[in-house]
Amino acid sequence: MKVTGLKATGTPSAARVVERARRDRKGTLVFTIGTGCCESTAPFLYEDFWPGPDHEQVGEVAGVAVFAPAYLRSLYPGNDGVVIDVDDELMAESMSIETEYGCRFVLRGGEGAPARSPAAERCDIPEAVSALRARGRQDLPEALRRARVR
Amino acid sequence: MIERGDSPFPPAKSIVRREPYGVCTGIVPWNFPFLMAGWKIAPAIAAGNCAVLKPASFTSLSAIEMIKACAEADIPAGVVNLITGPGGSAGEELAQHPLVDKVAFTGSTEVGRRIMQLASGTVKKVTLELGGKSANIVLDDADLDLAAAGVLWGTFFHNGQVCESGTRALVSRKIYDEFVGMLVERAGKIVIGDNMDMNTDQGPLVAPSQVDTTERYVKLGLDEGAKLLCGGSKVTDLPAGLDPNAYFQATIFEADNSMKIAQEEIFGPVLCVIPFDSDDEAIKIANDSIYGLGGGVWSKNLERAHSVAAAMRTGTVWVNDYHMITPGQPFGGYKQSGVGSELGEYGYNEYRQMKHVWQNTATDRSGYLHFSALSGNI
Repeated sequence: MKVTGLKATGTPSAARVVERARRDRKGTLVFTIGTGCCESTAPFLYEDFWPGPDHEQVGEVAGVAVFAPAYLRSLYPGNDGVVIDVDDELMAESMSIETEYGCRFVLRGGEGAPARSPAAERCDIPEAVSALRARGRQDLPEALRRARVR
Repeated sequence: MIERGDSPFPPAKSIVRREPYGVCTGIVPWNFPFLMAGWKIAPAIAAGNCAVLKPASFTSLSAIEMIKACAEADIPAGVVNLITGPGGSAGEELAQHPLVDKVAFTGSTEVGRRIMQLASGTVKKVTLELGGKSANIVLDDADLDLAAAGVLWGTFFHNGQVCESGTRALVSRKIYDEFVGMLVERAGKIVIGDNMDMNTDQGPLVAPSQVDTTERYVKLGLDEGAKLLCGGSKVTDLPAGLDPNAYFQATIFEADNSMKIAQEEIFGPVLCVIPFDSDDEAIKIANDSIYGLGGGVWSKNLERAHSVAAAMRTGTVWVNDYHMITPGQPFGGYKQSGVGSELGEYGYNEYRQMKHVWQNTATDRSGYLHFSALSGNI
């Protein structure tokens, strides 16, 4: 695993959400740390994400690789540590997988010792929410998923 | 719409038809939920498409009202549609579904990248309006009174929760001390409180988590050696009944452009002031960002201001103003701030695809010179 500059780890709460996503999704899970607009700089958990040409792996959480682009890595020289945590306040218009569970991955640290949110321990994702997710995309009729009107 | 033109081979004629794509999805953020929904729906249906709106998860109510208004306006059922839900399922499905022909998204750069990937599966048309870290350049010959108001307006309007906010104020060193003094003095007078009270300047951020994010960046700035000039913490003297976890002081740092607070979009009320010695240096600092959404130039010399504006790699530049967007002119980003434009004829055309129709009216082979390439047997 090649790690440069920025180094990312995850809290146990984040790992639990990743495990839940792993059970719900069939594809390969990937974290990418990105930035901009209403998300500010944040971790995004995607299924079958294609890292860009300047992305490099900067860590892993529960076995899921964390990638970050070059410009962001350059802002955190000297292995500044950031921690992927989870907050139970659904935030912004992210497409990150955990938004379906009513929580959001957040980035902590980078300014010294990582802070911890009291919310992190509260975000125990109800199984019912996970079941809702499983009833979504996968249960679309195959014919509809493949339909194309032209 | 049909545009006619002569072909290079008369009597053949060329016709260009502008046609709708079909089903156009608009995925919009929480900071201007009603406005952004209009920016997506209006051009889509005006161009003859059907629209599917996906609002941000916790700003769905205004979208619901808009859909109700569409129904009351007798827009046929099925032309304007609404899907609410988290981006991880509803947003992803809309971005990749084969029945969707175009995706328009406003939001973070990382989600924009994801949408492009998902849309590529069926080669959808994509327009994206993404993040920014815009520079508001104050030249030494600026009207300092107006420029100070413009820099504060450019940053603290809507608590900085605006993609094109001018969160980097680049200030000529010749006027630096005087101008920054004006900024700090006025920022200290910003009235924070109930945003429904017209006597306040700054209301709550969208959620306590956005306040947490802003606090984190203040710590990052201090750790990197940025000089905190004012603000930097939550508001302690709020009127009764207001949640102190939802408000943050107007914050000004003296910073270096290489710092995290000057490069990453905070989406909170944080301004970085950065000095420069020449117009060329100001342009260099302004363009030293992955983003290119907005920017400002303040100068009494319009020729000089426009010269700087032309060199800024951004989709919008305001000269002696900020944040002014007009429905008649395009709004979009350079670099990682987006793809395509919204608003005006430019934005309208993003919802229309072009079809070239070649029509030959000749009645014998003399009007088909290209057939001469064929053998006599055909």
